This record gives sequence, structure tokens and C-alpha cells, in this order.
Amino acid sequence: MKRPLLIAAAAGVYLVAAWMVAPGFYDGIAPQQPYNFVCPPPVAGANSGVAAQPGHLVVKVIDGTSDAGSAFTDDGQAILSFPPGAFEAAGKSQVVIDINPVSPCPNPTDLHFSTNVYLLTADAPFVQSSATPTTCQPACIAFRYSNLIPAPSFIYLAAGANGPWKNIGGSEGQPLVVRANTGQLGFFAAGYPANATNKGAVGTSRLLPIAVAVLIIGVLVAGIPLAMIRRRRAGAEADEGDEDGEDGEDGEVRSTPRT
Amino acid sequence: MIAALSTRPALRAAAIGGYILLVEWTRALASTIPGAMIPAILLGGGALAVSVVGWPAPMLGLGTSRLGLRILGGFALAAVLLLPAAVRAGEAPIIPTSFAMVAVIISVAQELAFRGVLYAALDEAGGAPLAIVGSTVAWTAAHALSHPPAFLWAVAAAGLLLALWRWACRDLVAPIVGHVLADLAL
Repeated sequence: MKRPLLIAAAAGVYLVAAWMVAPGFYDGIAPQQPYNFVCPPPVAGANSGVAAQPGHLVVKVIDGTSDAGSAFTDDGQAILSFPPGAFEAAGKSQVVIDINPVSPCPNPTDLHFSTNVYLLTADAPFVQSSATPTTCQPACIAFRYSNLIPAPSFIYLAAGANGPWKNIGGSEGQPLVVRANTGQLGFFAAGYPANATNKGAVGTSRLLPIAVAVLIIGVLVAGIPLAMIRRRRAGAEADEGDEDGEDGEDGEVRSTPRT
Repeated sequence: MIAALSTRPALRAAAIGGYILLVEWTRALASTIPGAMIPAILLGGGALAVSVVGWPAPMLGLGTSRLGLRILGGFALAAVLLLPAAVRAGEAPIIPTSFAMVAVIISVAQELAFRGVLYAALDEAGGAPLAIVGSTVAWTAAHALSHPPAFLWAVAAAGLLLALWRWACRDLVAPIVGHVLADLAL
């Protein structure tokens, strides 16, 4: 009786310990990528902790040309990179860039955002070119995202928090980071169209509760007759005076529960 | 050195524990290199599986007797391992299909290494209490580089549950089945 109780107690301890961390699991093939959500999705837990961080950068201007650099939030979730001369800085001694997470979270009907929405501002505009923005010309923006939720396909830009949102493209240069070139600042977020199908790279499944329910029912349905057979067999062995039926020499499983 | 390892169970258990931790930490660090996750898992799984060489299956808790009970126990363990995520979130991340076989390989390899070989070595060195506690501590330490600190309590609790099952039922099949199903689900 002691052993099943110990296992049950350990299961209880695990359930409590796993419940205390989102999404409620101990391991997994791809450990959860921490992400500071402004509005945590259900899978990240209702109280996932750390607030999303802002970012601030002062860019030097030398002889009317802004320096190269990267502005990023303190948690590294949003990064703006730009080469020398990206800003119209004539007559200025510096350019100030700010990145702030937006709250409340914009929730456009035709898009799903995988990241927070960030407002990127600078006190000087980008140098405008007639050409389409190319690699980090005049700047590129990158968003890190969590593997708890579906991966974003694109980065979206809007002049206001309520849109309209414009797709500025997106590519994944490194795992869990999506990036795009931009010639404007404003509101940015990474996401995907609401009607998009799962790319298969990272996604979510609502089948988990069903799978767990099936496992539990399966264990109960199969376990009860198995336990009855075991008990009946043990009783028969006891009647025959055979007392060494439990622990075989080849790693036999003990019957559980053993009372 | 070989002679010392074969005659001194404590030294053998320490060497096995050190080897397993070295493999797991190396795998965790290598997995952070872009594009190296799957090769690191495959190589790490293979290196963990090497630790079973020379150990008879019964000592590892492996066998085919009462296989139905063992598999059923694995289903029960998987249900426990997945229950908080299922209740809490209603949805959960799924691993890419290409990772499924990798998940199976590393789950089996980890169980063979921690609840199989290391447990058996510690059991020989100091009995079941040392085997349960030692394999749980090593299991938790192995995840220290790949998981945020907040997760380690859950990792330790899962290790304790699986180790207690290994002790109570003298069975490794159920922990393998449970671990594989849980890793496939998340």
C-alpha cells in the first residue's frame, strides 16, 4: 500500500509544480522560449510575469550623417537596425529613437499578432529613397517571438494603433526571430493573416485536452479489468501456496496497486 | 581505472552520472547553435544510449512480462505529465512533424540513461533511496542549461515521479512510454 501512495503523492507534487509554470509542463522537445507578453495568450498563462520592456537609443550625428546602430528593447524582443546616414539628420547633433510596447493590445479582426505591438519613434525621419527598401536600407526591424504560439509570417506596420496594418514582408534569419526592411517608423507587430493555415513549423493544438482525456479513460477502462485479473490470479497463486509470483528475475513489473 | 570502476559501485555510479550530465549539458549548449538542434539531439540521444552497454535488461527494469500493465502504466504517467498543460491552457504548442522521431529518440535515451543505467548504478551503490534521489537530482541538473529556472521544480517533480515508479514497479517501460507520449504531445 505504501508504494502506490508514494507514487500518488509524487504525482500530486508534480501536478502542483507543473501548474505553477506556464504552460504547465515539465519538459518538451523545445523548451519554452520566454517572452514578455503585454497581453499573454492563454497558453502562456494568465499571469506570465515580467512586463514587456521599452528601448531607447541616442544616435550620434557626425557632419550631418547619423551613425549606424541598433535600437532594441531591454528584453531584446524588438530590434531596429540601421546603417550610417539612415536618418535625415542635417543640422542635428543626435537622433533619439524610442521603442515602446503598446497597451492596450490592438486586436485587428483580419490578423493574429504573435508578438506585442511596438511603437517605434525617432525625432528625425528616415532618408527617403524612391527605391524599395532593401537589406537594412534605410533600416530593418526584427521581432523575437515565443514558440508557445504560432510563428508569425510577416511584420505589419501601421500609422496608428488601430491600423490599417500594412504587410512589410518577413523572413526568418535565425530561429524564433522574424525580420523585415522598413522605410518608415510607427506601430509594428509580427503576425499572420487570420485565415492563414498552419505552416507546420510551430503551432498549437487544441487536441491536448482530448488526448489526455482519452489517456485517462483508456487507463481506467483497461486498468480495471487488468487489475481484477491480476487480483484473481494472485488469489489463485496464494491458494496454491506459491509466494514468489510478484518479482521475477527478468525485471518483471509489480502489479499496481499492491495492497 | 576500469578495475576500480568494476569493483567500486559508488565510483561507477559517479562516473556514469558524470558522463550522462556531460552529454546532456553538451547537447543543451549545442542545441543553441542555429540549425544544430536536431543533430545535437540525435547525437546526444545516441551518446546517452551508449551508457546501457553492458547492463542486462532486467537490471534496467526492461522486460516483456506483464507488458500490458507496463504500457498502461505509461499511459497513466503520460496523463499525469500532460494534465496541467491540458487543463491550464486548453491548447499547447505542438512540435513540428520532423521533430517527432527526434522526440521519441531523446525520450527513450533519457529514460534508459537516468531511470535505467544511472538508477541501477546508484541502487547498487547505496540502495533504492539513493537511486531515487540521485537520479532525480541528476535529471534536474541535466535540464538546468536548457530550461528557465522556474521550470526546474516541475522537472524535479517529474523525475521523482518517474523514479518512484521505477522503484515501486521495478519497471522502466512505463516511464519510457509516458515520457515519449508527453514529449510527442508538447
